[in-house]
This record gives sequence, C-alpha cells and structure tokens, in this order.
Amino acid sequence: MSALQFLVHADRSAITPAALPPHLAALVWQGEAMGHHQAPVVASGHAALDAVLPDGGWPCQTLTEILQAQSGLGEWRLLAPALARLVAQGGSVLLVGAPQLPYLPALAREGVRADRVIRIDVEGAAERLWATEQALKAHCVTAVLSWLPQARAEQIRRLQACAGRHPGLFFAFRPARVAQESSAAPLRLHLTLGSCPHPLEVHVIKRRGPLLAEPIVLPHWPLGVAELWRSPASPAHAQASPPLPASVPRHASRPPTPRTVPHAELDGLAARLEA
Amino acid sequence: MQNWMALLPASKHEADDASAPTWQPLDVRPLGWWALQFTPRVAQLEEAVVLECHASERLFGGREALRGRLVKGAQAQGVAAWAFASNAVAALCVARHCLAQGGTQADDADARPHTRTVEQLLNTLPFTTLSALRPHAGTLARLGCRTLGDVSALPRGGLGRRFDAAALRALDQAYGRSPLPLSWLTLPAVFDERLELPGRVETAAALLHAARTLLQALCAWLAGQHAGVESFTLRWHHGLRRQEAHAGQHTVRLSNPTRDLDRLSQLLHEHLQRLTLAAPVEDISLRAEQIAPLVTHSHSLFPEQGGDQLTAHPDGLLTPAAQRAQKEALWTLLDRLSARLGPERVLAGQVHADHRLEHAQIWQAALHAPPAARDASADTRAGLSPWPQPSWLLPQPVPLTLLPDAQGQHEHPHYQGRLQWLAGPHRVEAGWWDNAQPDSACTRDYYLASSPGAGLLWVFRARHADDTATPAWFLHGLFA
Repeated sequence: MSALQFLVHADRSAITPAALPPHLAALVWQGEAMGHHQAPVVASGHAALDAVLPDGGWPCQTLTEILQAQSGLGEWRLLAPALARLVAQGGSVLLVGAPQLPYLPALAREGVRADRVIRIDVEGAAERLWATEQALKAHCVTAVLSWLPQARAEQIRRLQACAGRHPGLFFAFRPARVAQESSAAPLRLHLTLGSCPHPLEVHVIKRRGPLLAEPIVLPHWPLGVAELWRSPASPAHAQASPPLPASVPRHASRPPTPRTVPHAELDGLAARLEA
Repeated sequence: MQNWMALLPASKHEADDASAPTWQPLDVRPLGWWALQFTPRVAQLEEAVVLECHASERLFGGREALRGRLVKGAQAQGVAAWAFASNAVAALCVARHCLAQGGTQADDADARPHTRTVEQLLNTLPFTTLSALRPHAGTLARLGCRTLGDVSALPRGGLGRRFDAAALRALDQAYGRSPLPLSWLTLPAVFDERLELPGRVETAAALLHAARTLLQALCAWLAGQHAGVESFTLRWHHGLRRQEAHAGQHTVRLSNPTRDLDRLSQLLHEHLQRLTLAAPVEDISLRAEQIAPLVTHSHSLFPEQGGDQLTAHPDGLLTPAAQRAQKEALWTLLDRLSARLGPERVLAGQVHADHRLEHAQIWQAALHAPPAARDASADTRAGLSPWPQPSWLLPQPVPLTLLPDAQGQHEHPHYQGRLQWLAGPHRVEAGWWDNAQPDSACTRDYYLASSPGAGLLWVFRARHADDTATPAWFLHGLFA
C-alpha cells in the first residue's frame, strides 16, 4: 500500500486527510471515525443521543444492552420515541420478563399503542432466555425488550447471534454491575438519572466508535410531566397554588380533612423548581 | 376441450427405499380433498386422482396459470407423477409412463399439449400403462405388440373375441371413443381421521412424525374447504382395547385460523413435548374441532417487494403483503410461546376508561383476545386525562416508610431517600358504586414525588383511612 507508506514517511503536519485525493482519503483510517452497521437503524428520537450512536439511531438486527442499577430509571423515556416510530410502521413491542406492569395508557400517550404491546411473563432465567430467543427467531418486525438480570456472557453472545436475523430492535436490560464484564453486544449504555427533576443520563460504555467519556444528558420527560416543566412560572401563580403536603404531623392517625379545592392544578411544580 | 389431470401419489415401495422412516400415507383421499379447491370434478381412478379443471380456468387466470398452480401444489403434496390429457384414462396412462421412466414431469403432454392429439400421445406409450391390458400382457407381447398404438391397430372384432370386453372398453375410453363413468369425490363435512401406527410408540414427542401425516391430510382437507383450523384434537389409544380409560387426547388451539402445515406441526411438536404418555400408543386420530373460513388476499396490481419473504428491515412493513406476513409470523410466535409457557402468561393488554390506575388496563391471554381488539386501529391517545401517568405500575401499592424529620416533630415519607413533592394532589375518588369487588372503592390523593434514588414516583395518600394501623402513604407507579 504505497499511499500509506507515503503517509508514514511524509511530514505529518503537511498531510491531512482532507488534502489527499478522495480515493486515498477513503483508505486512511481515522481514530475518531464512527463504525458502520450493516443493518438499518431506527432514530432514537433524542437528537443528542442520535449524534453519538453509530449511523445515528438504534441499530436493528443486533443486541443493545442497557444497564441500570434498578428498573424504573428512565427506560421508557429513553426508548418510547423509537418504539412509537416502530409501532407506527406496524411493528409490535414484546416485553419479556418485565419487572413491573407496564401502564398502557401512559405508553399509548407516548405513541406505543396498547394493542401492540405483548407482555410475556416468565419464571426463571432459562425461560427468560428461551422466550427471548424465540422472539428473535420469529423474524417479526418487533421491538423485543428483555430483562435479563442473571444472563451470563455466553448467553448474551448467543442472543446476539440470534439477533442477527431479527429485523427489529432488541434491547436487553441488565444490572449495572456487569458494566465491567465483557459483552458481545456492539452497543452498551449505562442509564442513570440526574438529580431532581431527573433528566436522563446516558453513559455510552461501548459503541462502534471512539470512547465517549462524558454522559449524554437528555432532558426528556413523559408527556404530562413535561407540560409541568414548560408551564410559565410566575410568583403570583405560585402563591395561588394549593399547598403541597409538607410533612405529616407525627403519629397522625388519619390525613387532614379534604381541602376545599378537590382538583388542584399541578402547577406548583414550576414554582418549586424556580425556588 | 376438456382438460384432465392425473395425479399419482408416491407409492409405498418408493417410501420404503428412503432412508428416513416414513409412514404410509392414508390413501389418495387427502390428495383428492386438496384438488377439490380447484374444481368440484375430482374422482379417484384406480390408484390415482383425476380431476377435470376446464371450467375453473377463467377463475384461476387461464389454462397455463391453473396448470402452474396445480403442478406447484401437487409437488408440495408429494405427488410422484402427474400428466395432463384430454381424458382421464389417457392422463393416467401418461402419468404412469412418467412414473415408470423415473421422472415426475410429463414432458410429452406438458410441453406440447396442443401439438399432439390424444391418439398420437397414446400410440407411443407401452400398453402396460393401461391396467385393463395388463392381464393379457403375455399374449399381446407374443403378438408383437409393444405400444398402445400396436394394440389399437389390431382388428377390433378379433380383439373383442380374444380378450374380455373390459380391455376393449378401456381402450375405447383411453382414446376418448366411449365415456368413462366416474363418481365424484365429495369433501367430508367433518375431519376425523385415524392412523394405525406400524409399531408401538413410547414417547409423546415420537408421535409427531405420525401425526404429521394426519396434519398433512388435515391441511389438504382444509384447502378443499377454503378454511383454516382454529383448534384440533389429537387422540391416541393404548393397546387394542379402545376404551376411554385407555386413551388420551390433547387439544391444540391457535390464535388465528391457518392451514400452514409447518406452523401446525411446529405447534403440535411444542405441545407434545410437554405431554407424557401413560402407555405405548398403537394408533392415533386427529379431529378438526373448529374451522374458520380463511380470507384469501387478492394480489396487488403492482408487484410487491418482499411479498413472499420477510425482509430484514422495519420498512419491510410498508407493503400490505409484508404486513400480512409479519402478522402471521407474530401469531406463530405467540402460539409457540403460549404452548410452552401457558396461555395465561402471554398477555395482550387493552386500555379501559377508568380513573383508577389498576382498572385502567386489562391484561388477557393474547391467544384468546378477540382479534378485533388486537387489530383495533383506534388511537387511544385521545380522551386520556391530562395528568401525568406513570409508565410502570406496581401490581400492589407499596407502603412507604415514614421517617421523622430533623426536628422530630413530623414524619415524612421516604422511598430510597426523602421524597420531595413536585406536584399534586390529583384526587381520584371512584369505584364506590362497585359492590361486587370489595377493594374497588378508591379515595386517594396522588402526588408526583421525586426520590433521590428512584427518580420520579407516583405516590398516593389514602383518604378516609379509618384503620390507624394501615399506613397512609403508598407508592403506586414509576415514571420510568
């Protein structure tokens, strides 16, 4: 490869890839180049996240690991835009061994239609893996969300191999303690929440591309909650808002008598955040 | 001109040669049932099935298109040889000749069907292809006859005197000079077929091989019915005494009607793996319990991309054919999961208009959920409350621990840290009218709270809690 030899011997400052002819520039590997995925991607719906994901979205036909200290830390907020896009195209969402009941009205509001969500209750690690593998081998355009708290590295490798022909998305939720272990997943994210009001913080542990030291902060909240943040916060408005329960008197046998305003508006929040 | 097709099923001897142990097919009836989807004029002629499909040509898009479909389907049905001719006996003779030659394709009749008359076609065939002449094979051979043409060239009077009338009649029928009476095959109203096993079968999983033969017959029958099966029952008998105590049965239900043999046998395999047989089985029977008409989808005007195979791309859902294929694949998956895990663990949800969180969604087995509910395209986004809704719901509200404040005067709820109130209260007071369920009444104030460890939470305070022992604060949902 004469072009590369030329690069080595030449003055480094004089030669930049931009200065090279295009056919040579294509041969030069650059450290900050992002890898490419053969399969299509589904945009994640978060512009800041898309910017750091290879090919700009969640990759299809592959395993994406999401590590969490515990369930309930923003997984729906992270995935709902992409799932809604897939559902709008006619796909379905399969939940294998979900830790809690998914609340369908909330998901429907985000665009993940209730009739497209299928929940598979499993018992034990073997059933989790089996059901996940069957879902991947069915070759349906679905998003498979699988909670695998006990999966070992070789089992993840097997699922990654199965995912190669799965036309949809595949997310495996694993505990945060496996972050240091090796994994066959080409994309691994550690999902945490920031301090109140808890924006998403996505730490990209592994991707086809250079290391990313800083977490991506996604100020994204569920619909209904997001409106509370956006509402204008005026001091007068805040004073008019009904009192939030500060603390309960000790050994109170029953809550205080109902307030005169039964359906208070949820607008005290903006004022609280301002304060 | 009439268009006859003869189908010769794979013979038993051929099956014996194969290395894999195959069960002898029931008989030719399933082949006839399958053919009934193309034409009502199907009959059994000796060992073959003959059908006349002249009247159906327009429906299936012309003679060539219908022949193509018949040949493609016949190959899938495991037919050893087939042939087309202008009458049933001639078609059978050509098919037998093809089988004897070892090929399955009736070249002469198929490639140039219009260039040769039936006379030219038959004249070159060996006379043994006509079964009525076989008893006289020795005499005819000594006369120097080899082909049907040689036999028909013999003096007619002498032929009639020398041999029986049946031989002469068969010759006339083959050359189309006299009519052939046939009794048309009719489709039985109920599919309930029995198969005696060649040996005793010990394990349920080993039954599958035999059951596949029955499933194949079932699919052929369903094709004739233009229907798909929704549930079928496999019965087996232990020993010779066929009493209730010595038999067992298993019913398989499907999420949507189908007549896809691979899907049915995969599903049955999944079911049989979970069964244990009380004793070795000697014969099995299969009965179609529920069938439903199968909607045949019209082909689109323009060629569709990825119609036959699933594309490995989310955009593969764009064409209707791909969507149908996707739906079929998803149902197959749900059947499989339900078979192994139990239908009550593969669940589809529905949104129900209710202010109480635990009643706002109904989960039911995906297998038994009405398809209308699953296909409902109504956007459920409209008409929902503007309040925040948690994305995870706890099956049972979790009581929150109350810890005293720094001053020790007040108690404050904690969940992975001290809760901070962000919004509320959102009052829910419903269900008091429902006397049937004791816990249905709900008087709660919901608050949006922030926990340092668990993020945004949906907690409530039970109002009118008359029992002092019950804690007043509960966690009910997570804004994940």
